[in-house]
Amino acid sequence: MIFDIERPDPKLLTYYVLSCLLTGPLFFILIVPNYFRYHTMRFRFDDEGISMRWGILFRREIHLTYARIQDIHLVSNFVERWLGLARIQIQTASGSSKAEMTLEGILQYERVRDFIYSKMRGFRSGGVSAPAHPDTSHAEAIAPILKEIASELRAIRARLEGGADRV
Amino acid sequence: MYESLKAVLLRLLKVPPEPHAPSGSPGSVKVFRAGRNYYRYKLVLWAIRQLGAVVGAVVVLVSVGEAMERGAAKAKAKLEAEPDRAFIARHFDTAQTLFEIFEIAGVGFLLVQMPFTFAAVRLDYEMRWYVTTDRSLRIREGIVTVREMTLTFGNVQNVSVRQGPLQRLLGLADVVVETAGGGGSRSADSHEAGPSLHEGYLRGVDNAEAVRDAILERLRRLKDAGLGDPEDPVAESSAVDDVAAAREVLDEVRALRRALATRS
Repeated sequence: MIFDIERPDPKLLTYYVLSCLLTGPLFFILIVPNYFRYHTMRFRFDDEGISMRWGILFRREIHLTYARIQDIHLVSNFVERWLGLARIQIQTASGSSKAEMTLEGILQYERVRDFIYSKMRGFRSGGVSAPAHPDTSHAEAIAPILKEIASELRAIRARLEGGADRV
Repeated sequence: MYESLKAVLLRLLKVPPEPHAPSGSPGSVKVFRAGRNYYRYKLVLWAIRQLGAVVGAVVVLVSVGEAMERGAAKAKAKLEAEPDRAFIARHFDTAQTLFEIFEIAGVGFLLVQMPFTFAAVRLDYEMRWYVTTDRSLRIREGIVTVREMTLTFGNVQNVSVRQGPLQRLLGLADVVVETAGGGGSRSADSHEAGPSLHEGYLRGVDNAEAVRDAILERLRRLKDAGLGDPEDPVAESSAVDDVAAAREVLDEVRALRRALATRS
């Protein structure tokens, strides 16, 4: 379902038009890049991460892996909410204070957000409480000893089986 | 009165309902809210702003009104002196009417926005949730622009508590949870939006120590919070080795017993 998302919803174009209208006379200038941004925007969700690309003169492509995601923001202003849209801003540990990737025009934003959240860094390890092996030197020592026992026993069995064959 | 205004505003702005907690172990969900004093704090700021607007409006209206009167006297004099060349003077009352309309509209706007901005302050306080589970934190804030931030404790680099003098007086503090990555320039006036997306702001909590301890306690349980090296990289792999080795011994012992059984 989420892996099928490739294109933003047409409502995104409506939102671009509305937000450009707010700028008044600049509308005719600003609508052009936004129009092409909408028409060239492609998403790709796969097992490893998310890719997104857009642009017609200046092309941009962003790839990021789920494991590197640090925080997820779900942002919507009231125009977007009336249209049923929200932006998902995804952050990795890079140097910018802006979002590395902003997924726009996705209607199932809550589901996508929860999906990304379930894949992001620190989700799985979060449940681990208190170390399982408090005495780590003991844990390190036990493995080779057990292996030695195993090889010892293996030798005994080999001899026993050999003896049994001869009888 | 407030309740009906709130219902109208919530419907108009389509504010989504209370956020659901991010998935984590059941029973570990803790919801923190902004303290009651945070509302009072915001209300004081709102009152100061309103007062400033009213004073500003009065000053502007009085001074412009005086100038208008002076201008009217001048225009009258000019109209009497040289009636042919006094185009502006002849239309001076039109300007005066325009000013009056502007005056009424300004005062009207000032009065109308008051209940709405007041409701916005109160709603901003009410529509604010800081949800924590054992592995993540979700901060929801805002009414016009709704912002919901989710981060896992596995990514948290540090936790800080910030308090201004006025907040201190009211027993409030902001708990800030930071993840790795650079922030933009954080100026004093950009208090509202939280310019750096790497910071989770738990604004105006009145139990900052408890919140901080709850978060730190969760961080302590994680062996590799933030981007640092895991404290004990061998522990996990050796645990796996242990189990594998023990199983090997078990298989071997079983085989041995079987071998002995067939022999006898």
